[in-house]
Formats: sequence, structure tokens, C-alpha cells
Amino acid sequence: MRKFVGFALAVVLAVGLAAYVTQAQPPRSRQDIVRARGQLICGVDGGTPGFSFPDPASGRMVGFDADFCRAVAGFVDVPDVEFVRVTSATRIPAVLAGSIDVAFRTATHTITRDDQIDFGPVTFFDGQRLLVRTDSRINGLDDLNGARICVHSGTTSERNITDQMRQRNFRFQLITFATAPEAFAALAAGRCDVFTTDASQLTGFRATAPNPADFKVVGREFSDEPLAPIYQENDSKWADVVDWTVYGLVLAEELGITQAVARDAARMSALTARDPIVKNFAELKGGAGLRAVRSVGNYGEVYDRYFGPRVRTAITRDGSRNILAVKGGAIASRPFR
Amino acid sequence: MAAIPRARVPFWRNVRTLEFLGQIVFIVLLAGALWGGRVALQESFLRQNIRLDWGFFRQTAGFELTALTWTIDLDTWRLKDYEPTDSHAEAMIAGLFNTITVALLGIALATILGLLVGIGRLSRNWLLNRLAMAYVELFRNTPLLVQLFFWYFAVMLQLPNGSPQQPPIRFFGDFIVLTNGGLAFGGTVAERFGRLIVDGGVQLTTEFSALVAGLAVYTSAFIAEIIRGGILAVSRGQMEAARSLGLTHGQALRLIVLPQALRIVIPPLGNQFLNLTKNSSLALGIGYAEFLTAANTVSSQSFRSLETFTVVTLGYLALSLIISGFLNLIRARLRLAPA
Amino acid sequence: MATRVEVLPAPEERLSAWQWARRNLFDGWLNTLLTLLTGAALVSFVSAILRWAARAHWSVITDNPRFWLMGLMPVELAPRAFWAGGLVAAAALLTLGGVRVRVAPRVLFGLWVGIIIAVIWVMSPVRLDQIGGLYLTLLLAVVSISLSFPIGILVGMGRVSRLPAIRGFSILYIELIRGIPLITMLLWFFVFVTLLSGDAITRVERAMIGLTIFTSAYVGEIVRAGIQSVPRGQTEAARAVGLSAVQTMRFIVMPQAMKNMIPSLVGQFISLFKDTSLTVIIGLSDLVGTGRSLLAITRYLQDTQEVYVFLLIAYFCFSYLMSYGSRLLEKRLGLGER
Repeated sequence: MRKFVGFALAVVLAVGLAAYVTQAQPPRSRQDIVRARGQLICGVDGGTPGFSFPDPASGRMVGFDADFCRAVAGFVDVPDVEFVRVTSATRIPAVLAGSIDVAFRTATHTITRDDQIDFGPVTFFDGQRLLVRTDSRINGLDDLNGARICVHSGTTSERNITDQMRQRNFRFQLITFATAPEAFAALAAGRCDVFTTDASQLTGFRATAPNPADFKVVGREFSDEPLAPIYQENDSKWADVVDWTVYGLVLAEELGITQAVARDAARMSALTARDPIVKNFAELKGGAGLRAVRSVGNYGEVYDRYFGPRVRTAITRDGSRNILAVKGGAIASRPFR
Repeated sequence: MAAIPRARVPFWRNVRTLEFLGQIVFIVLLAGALWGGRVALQESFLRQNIRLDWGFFRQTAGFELTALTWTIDLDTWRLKDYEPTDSHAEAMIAGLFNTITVALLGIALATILGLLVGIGRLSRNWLLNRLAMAYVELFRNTPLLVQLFFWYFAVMLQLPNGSPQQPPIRFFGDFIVLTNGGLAFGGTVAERFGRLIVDGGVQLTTEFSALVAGLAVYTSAFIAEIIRGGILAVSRGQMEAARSLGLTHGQALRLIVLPQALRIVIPPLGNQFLNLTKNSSLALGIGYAEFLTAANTVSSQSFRSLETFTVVTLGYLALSLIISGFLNLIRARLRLAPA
Repeated sequence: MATRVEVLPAPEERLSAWQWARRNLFDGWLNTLLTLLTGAALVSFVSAILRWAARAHWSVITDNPRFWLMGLMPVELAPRAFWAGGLVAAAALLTLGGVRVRVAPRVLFGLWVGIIIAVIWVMSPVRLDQIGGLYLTLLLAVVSISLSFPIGILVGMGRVSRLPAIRGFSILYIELIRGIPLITMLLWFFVFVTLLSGDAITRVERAMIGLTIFTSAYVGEIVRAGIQSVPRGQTEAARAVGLSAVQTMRFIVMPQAMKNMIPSLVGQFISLFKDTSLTVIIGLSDLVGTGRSLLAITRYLQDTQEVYVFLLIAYFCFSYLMSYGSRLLEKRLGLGER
């Protein structure tokens, strides 16, 4: 009898498992999944100064990319963001399979990558340059014949530099690292003569090093790296959420809605009364854009928090493509109407 | 004499029938689970709009590898040097060649080190004995990945970098030159970008050296224990009998104990060699372009991780099966029991 | 009439320090030379280590104790984690003491059940994915060990089963898993399980499942060897006495096999504990991941030696504790005294 019960139990378990596995899940938008979960799972690099790095004191992930994650959470109105550190090995599978909802991970938007996943609007325009030690005589790509080059593996930088070297018929040795800080540490230790990746990251590493004067960023930008959020292919409802979060932060900067203003009901109502565009921004989609601004501030505030003139990882914004389109840059919004 | 009445077992209580039915149920359940997994996977491919496409393996890789880079030209089936203009598949083959190189060198070094430590472990000298024990305990009880990080980032990269302030370490004139760029034998020292580096000769890069050293040291700790166990397993009487027949200690060891110990030692030793080969995949952590690292680069450059990881898994499986087939052959030759 | 013969141990030699040293260190010229050489090497090595340790920047360790312990766990949840950790540590100490003074296993078992319930209750508001650092490493190890043990026993028994379907499946499973490196399996598994389950299974759970599936195959192989080490006569005798196949396995073969298996099982579990470090490659922030994210902070960029030495020491302590515990267990079960 006991044997029979055990056997029956095993069969029921196995059938149940099979049923669970085969259970047809109705296609749901990520938006519903995130809302039901009450939490946004956001992929970041977690080791790039300025963009995303842990703050051991508060136990929080901070940075430009991390703030965009919080803004998306504000937009869909979930209270909580879980940061997942994605490596170059895991970011694509993670997005593909949906174990992260969105990744802000200094990912360059390219046509081949777009086959697999979708990209949102560009949050930062970057370009690849070279970082060398100050005593180095390297001043640009043309000096790199025979150089030992450190790169972060699996990035567009890795291919760009290979292309540039081959085009010049240079001999070179490529040394790859799983993370960007390791590549920088190798440059500092003298394992290689140059570390190359997006200029913003190079600036960040140089600025936060214990001795910034030991390094210099040289050469012209030799690639175009528009960095954009990535998410699953063919989920246009979720794409709308991520895209309009970015647009919302940008529009908020155009309209002069800062975090302080967004959080202050009186000033908001004064603004909405004066400006119909602000009124739309504050009311459309249940005020989702405004919620995003409330959680992290507008695009300019986020930028200044991590790359502004007062922080160590400062990157001059004026004159770069990262100023608003209305001021001649490339950071553009779409109308909230 | 009355015949013993044969008990008639009804078929539903017959063990054979039950076993047969049980197996059928098991197979049906297994098949159901597999089929269910397949359906679910297909559905999820559809839902997430994933199309497997194996054609990208023939596309141009476009990246350089950090290693000795032989590959097989897939059009002519000839051995050649890998270049960034080669295809993804050829990049992965280059990685496979590197895995084999690392494994062969690692196995040789690990065996020598393990033998030395194993003998030290059996020494009557207390200090040497304890030192060998500390070595074994230290390297067996810490993760290989951390050891590799340690060797690479904390040891090798901290070596002198060849600048005027940190001149390279040289042995025998310029015959052996050690910097944090690697170990060079018999090249000529030249100055480039303010660093002394070596041209020509035999060069072992830092990544390669760290990987081989890490694998060899880690595995040697296990090999030392196997060798110690093997020698101890040969009963003491054997040694004593040999000595009483007039053989010297060395002769007894060489002619009596070691041949017997060898038979005990070879099967587990073979497993360690297999482990070392599989463990070489941890090079992913330090960026040496062996099979998995090359595949990982292919995957993140092409964004085709499903296909690449499937190929890698099958590749390692094939490699392991070949190695264990080879080991079984050796065991059969030596008429040893399979491990 | 049987006479009891008391076997006394050989009288212990009492050696003075000098005699001991003469016998173990300076016995013949070769030994003396060896002692001097190893001694000199050891002294220079240890002094180099000490000099290094004196000027190393230990602030990367000492400034971030909470980060090392629990990673990016929200600060407001940290006290709960401290409580849970304290409970487990207390239970571990009590167990070690208990084993020494030979408390009944049932008492210890009850203690652990109580502690585990208490820990689960204390940690209930903490999500699995919020755990990091040492806590995550230990959690991964403990859960995977407790899951892979029963599964491994089933697979091992299947491996020696008479039934071809079950044996075939077990062989296939064991050989397939043992043929691929863990890291490859974790990466592959990471992709495909995510595809199957969406986000129903968290990353930490995925790592646990991956580690369990991997280790179960090795445990299965150990169980097979253990079962085969029990003489066939035992099974035959048991069956002849009228025990069923299941009963024979349960009461005759397994208890004997288990004794033989303990050393290799503990070895396998230590190796599983070490293998949890590989989850850093699929992006979990266990102990190694925590160290590496500290190294990613440019302030600590140069502190690689400190971080990796600390990690080696930390892993060594836990692994050594496990092998020490196993030796204690072996002694209690009277292994090696047969």
C-alpha cells in the first residue's frame, strides 16, 4: 500500500512538472510582467565610473545608467528596482530570454545587434578614443604600430580598434579583459601601452584614479558610439515605456521641470497653468513622465549628477552632441501630446 | 513424493511485469518531459521572436585573439594563422587549439609538480612533509577561479613592466626575460613606447602563463595526494621484503613499489588530466583566448549566444569523450580496472 | 568460555624536543640539508609575506565589512541578515561542541531544524536576489549541497539498477554532465532555463539549479562506487533472508556504502562550495563578485593583491572547516578503524 502511494505521488509530481513546463504562457507584455512583479529588473554594468557603480556605503547602485533604470521604474509606477550586473557574456542572453526587463549598459546601437534585440533612444553619444600614461609618446591611432592594446572584450571597441589597425597594416597585440576596470588596471600596471574604449568611460577612469595626472586621453574620436537601452525584440508596449521614459527626461529638461519642481505640487500647478505643454506632460499617460522626473530628475540633472562640472568624472557637455537638440545637440525628445 | 505445488503469481504481482511496466512508465514520463521542454522552448522562441541561425559562424569575425593563434582554414582544410578576417567558426577553432595547448602544457607541469610534492609529502623530514601538506591543503581548499585571478591580477600583472623605473627581470643575460607582458626565451630586447620588450624568440604571454601556472598548481595538489595514496597503498611488506632480499631503498622503490603504485595511480590521474582540460575554460575570467573565451567573444560580437553556447557545450563534450576514450584505452592496455 | 583480551596500545615514547628534532629533522646528512634548505626558503617566504602584509592597503577589506558580508542588500534589511548569520554561526558552534561531547544526533538535528525555521522567518522580507557577498556564497553552497545529495543518491542507485531504462538514463545523465565544464553548463543553462521559465525563476535559483544538476552527477558516481564497494554477498544474503530489493538497499547496502562514501562525498561538497565562485561569471555577486565589484571602484583599483589574498583566505577557512568536520565525523563513525 505504501509503495503504491509513493508511486502514485511520483507520477502526480512528474505529470504536474510536465504540465507546468508545457503550460502555454499567454504572450504578455513586459509592462504587465513588471507591474505584476512590482519591481523593475534592470541590467547595468556595475563597474563603470559615472555610468553605474556600487556605492558600498549606502549599498545602492548609482550612476547615469542606474538613474535611467530608476526613471523607468518611476514611469511604470513600480516602487523598486533590482540591479543586475550583466557581463558581456550574459547581457544578450539575459535580455533575449527576459531575465532582465531592460539593460542600460553602455551598449552601442548597431544594425547587426538590432537583429536580436531592440534598442531604445540614445541616452549618450559617445566615441572611441585612447587612454595612455602621461609619459607615453602615443598621440593618436597613427602612433600605435607594434603597440599592446587593452580592451574590454565583447564590445564594439574591440572590433573598431582591430579594424583601424588592419586598415593601417599595423602590427599589434590585443589583450582582452572581462571588465573595463580590469583593462584600466592593466594599463596602470603597464601591461599594455594603451587602453581604448568610449571616451566617456576613459574620462571616468582617469578622473577617479588615485593619480589622474598619470593618464591622458589622446587622439580624435574614431568611432560613433550612440549608447542606448536594450530590451526584448517585438514588445512594442514595453518599448514605448522605455522610449518615453528617456524622451520624458529630455522633455523635462527642455521645459525646465527639475526634480524639485516635479515634487512640489504648488510650483507644478503654477507651471501647468502657464504652459499647455507642461500640462500635457504632467497629465498624459497618468503623469508617467512626471513620475520618472520625480524619481531621478530631468536629463540635465542626471547628467550633471555624474558628469557635471562639480563631480570628478566631469565630461564637458557644452559643444558635445549630448546637449539638447534645441540647443544644437543631438539629445532629442518627442512631443507629449 | 508429492510434487511441490507451484505457486501461481498473478501477473499484477509478478515482479517482472511490474518492472517492465515501471520502465515503460518511466520512459513515457521522460519522453513527455523532453517533449514538453521542446514545445515550451519552441513557444518561447516564437514568443520572443528568436530564430536560430547558424549561418553567422561563416561571417567574418573581425576581432583579434589574445593568444597563439593557429586555426584550420575551413575552405581548404589547412592549418594556418588566425586573422581577424577569418570567420567566427575559424576563431572558435583557434580557441580549441589553444585549449589543447594549455591542457598539454598544464598536464605536463602538473604531473611534475604533483610528483615532487607527493614525494615531499612522504618524506621522513618533518619540515618538508609539513610544507608539502600545507601546499596541498592551500591549493585544494580554494577555488581555482580565485587562484587564477590571484595569479593573473595579483602576481603576474604586478611584475616589473619594463619601464626605466621597473626594469625587466633577466636571467642568463637576455636569454630569459620576465616582465608583466610575459616570459620570453631567446629573443632580442628592444625599446618600444618607453618599455623594454622582447622581439622574437619563444614568448609566453602573461595570460597564458597565468592560466597554465594556475591550472598546474591547482591540479598538482590533487595529483600529489593521488601519488601519496598510491605509494602508501602498496603494502609495507613489499618494501620490507625487497629490502631483506638485498635491494637498496632506491632499487626497491623503483623496481617494486613504483610499478605497483603506478597501476593504482593511473586511473585517478587520468581523471585529473580530464579535469584540468575542462578547468581550462576558466580562462574566461582572465581573457586568454581558449575555446570558451573565443566562443564568448563570438557570442557577444554577433549577439548569437544561443547558437554559440550550444556549439561550445557540444565541443567540450566531444573533447571530454575523446580524452576519456583515450584514457580507457590506456587502462585497457595496462589491464587496469576502469576508474 | 570466552576470555576478554585487553589490547593495550603501545607505550608512548616520550621525546625531548631535541630528540624529536634529531629524529625528524636532522636524521642523516641528506635530511639535515633538506631541513636547512626548506627552512631557509620558508623563513624568507614568510618574512616576505609579512612585509607585504604590513604595507598592504587593508582598507578595502576593513572599510566595507557589510558589503563583503551581504553585498548590495538594502541597508534597512541588514540587521535581519546579521541576526540570521548570528543564529547560524551559533548553531554551527553548538554542533561542533555537540559532536565533540557526543550529543545524540537527534538533538543536533532538532537544533538545526529550529535554527533553519528561525532563519527563514527572520529573512522572510529579504528577496533571494538581494542577497550577496559571503551570505550568497554560503546560501548557494548549502542549498545545492542539500539538493544534490538526495538526487545524487537516486541517480547513483539508478546507475546500478537492473532495469535497462533507468540505468541507461542514469548513465547518460552522469556521463553527459561530467563531460562538460561547469562554467559552460552554467552559461548554457542560464540561457535555456531563462527561455523556458521567463523570469519565474530568479537568477540565484537558476544558479542553485545549475550547481545541483552538475553536482548530482558527481554524487551519483560516488554513490555507484560506494554501492559497488559493498560485497555482493551482502545483497544476496539479504535477498535470501527474504528482504525485498528496496529493503535490501535501504537496510543492508546503503548503510555500509554510506560509510565508504563519506570522504569522497565531503570532497565533492567542498568542491561544490568552491564552484559557487563560478557564478560570478554569470553575473551573481557572491563573495568573489563582491570582491571584483570593489576592485571596479577606481579608488581600490590597485588593491588586487589584498582582495584576492583575502578571498583565498576566506574560501580556505570554510573549506578547511568542512574537511575538519568530515574528519570528526569519520572518527565518530569509526572509519579507518575497521
